Amino acid sequence: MPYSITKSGVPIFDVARAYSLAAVLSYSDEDESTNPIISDTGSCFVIDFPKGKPSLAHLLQDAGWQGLFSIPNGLDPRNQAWGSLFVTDLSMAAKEKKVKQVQKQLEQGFDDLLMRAQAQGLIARFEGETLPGGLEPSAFKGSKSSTRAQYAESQTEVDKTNWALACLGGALAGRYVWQRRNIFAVYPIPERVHFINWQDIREKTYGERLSYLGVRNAVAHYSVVLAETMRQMAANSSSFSDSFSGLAYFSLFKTGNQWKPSSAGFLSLQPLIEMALGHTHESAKVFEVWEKLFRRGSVRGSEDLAEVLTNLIMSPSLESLEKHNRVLLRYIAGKEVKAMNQYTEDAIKEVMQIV
Amino acid sequence: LSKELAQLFSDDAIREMGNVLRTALRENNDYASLIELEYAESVPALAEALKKLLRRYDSFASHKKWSWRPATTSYEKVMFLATGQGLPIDQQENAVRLVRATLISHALTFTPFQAKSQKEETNA
Repeated sequence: MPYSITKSGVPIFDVARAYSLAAVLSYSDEDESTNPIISDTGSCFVIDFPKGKPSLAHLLQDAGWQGLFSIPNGLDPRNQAWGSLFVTDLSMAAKEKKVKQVQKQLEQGFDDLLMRAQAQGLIARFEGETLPGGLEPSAFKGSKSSTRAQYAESQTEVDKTNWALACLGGALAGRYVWQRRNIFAVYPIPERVHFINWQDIREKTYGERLSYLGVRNAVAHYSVVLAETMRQMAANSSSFSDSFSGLAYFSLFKTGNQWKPSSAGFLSLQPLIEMALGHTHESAKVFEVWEKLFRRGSVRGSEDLAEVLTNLIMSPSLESLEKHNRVLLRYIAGKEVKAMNQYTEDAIKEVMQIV
Repeated sequence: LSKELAQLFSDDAIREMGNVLRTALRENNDYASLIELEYAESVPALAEALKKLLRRYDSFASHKKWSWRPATTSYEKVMFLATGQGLPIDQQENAVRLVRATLISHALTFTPFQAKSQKEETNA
């Protein structure tokens, strides 16, 4: 019987719990040959684990599991993002305490967690532990809806099991890019993903970063990196069928000592994934050109290139295509883009497919 | 729009006029034609912009002693497409923008320089 996470309506919280439950199942599997599959069924995330034998004893002895709960020193996005997740806890001791609390909660509540996830789906109750703002921007305290009587609301709280699950998922699945006084966070939303493939994708893509104009630019660039990685995986394996539905993103900025939520949104990955998996040869050139243009656009003086490409990917339309064409053509006419970094006829036809 | 864009982009007349624009920009730095084309919002404005592009190209090609010129029918076909007659009804009002976008898209692509190679072929 599959395990499931009933969606609460708080998107990143739900996605993080799905990744986390898959991680718990994967690390606790005595058999070690099966691989959890995360699927989005609309109302819940289902984790298929048909032949798995999850056991607490195995989980406690697993070195990989123990390794998940260390706070790395560097800000490499490939590291577990505990530091970014608990960014609102200013001291390292407070962060470490919470990480230990997450581990303890998941290990002590292991049987109950799996039983509930298998029986009726894991449902979140919004009371108990404070959800970290670094995980979900809607968790920050403040007014969340219009009110005439009270102008402030407290932080969002969830029950301990779901809190621990979400925190682990946030540390694993969140791609946090620190840039000056900003943090850009991106979460890939699985449509149907093998957990082992996702670990591979994470390893290959989370470290790819540039200097960004803003969170939209960061998300657009990551979408290209992710689509290209999936294209390569599909080209190397005919059985590859994993897919992400989109990217949920938000940014935080620092005011004095405090972190505040900034913009947030969702990018549908469907056009890029279709391009990557449907036309693997032609899309290779498109992603190659886009990667080069993003790199060029991350340099001071060429920001317009990054901006028009970001707009084309984030909100594809005839208008954004025309703007992209105008700016790029000026760079090409000015001999500022090498021939090898320019579109071929087939590649630009693929670009038109997303408009 | 992707279907209409792809259909126009694959049209031979659009391809030929796109090649002229590419050559004019890359070999002759003809930014004037590019700007006129970018700001052409109506069929007469597009016709005027394309005529000027062709005139400038012709002058430059004569100076360089290139033999290749686009066929007259290409210009006529592009203008026919710009009236929206080959497009679905709901896209006819966008016809000029679609044609303009596909012409400029052709100019973006990298292909070996055609005029020179055809000149060499003619000389041979």
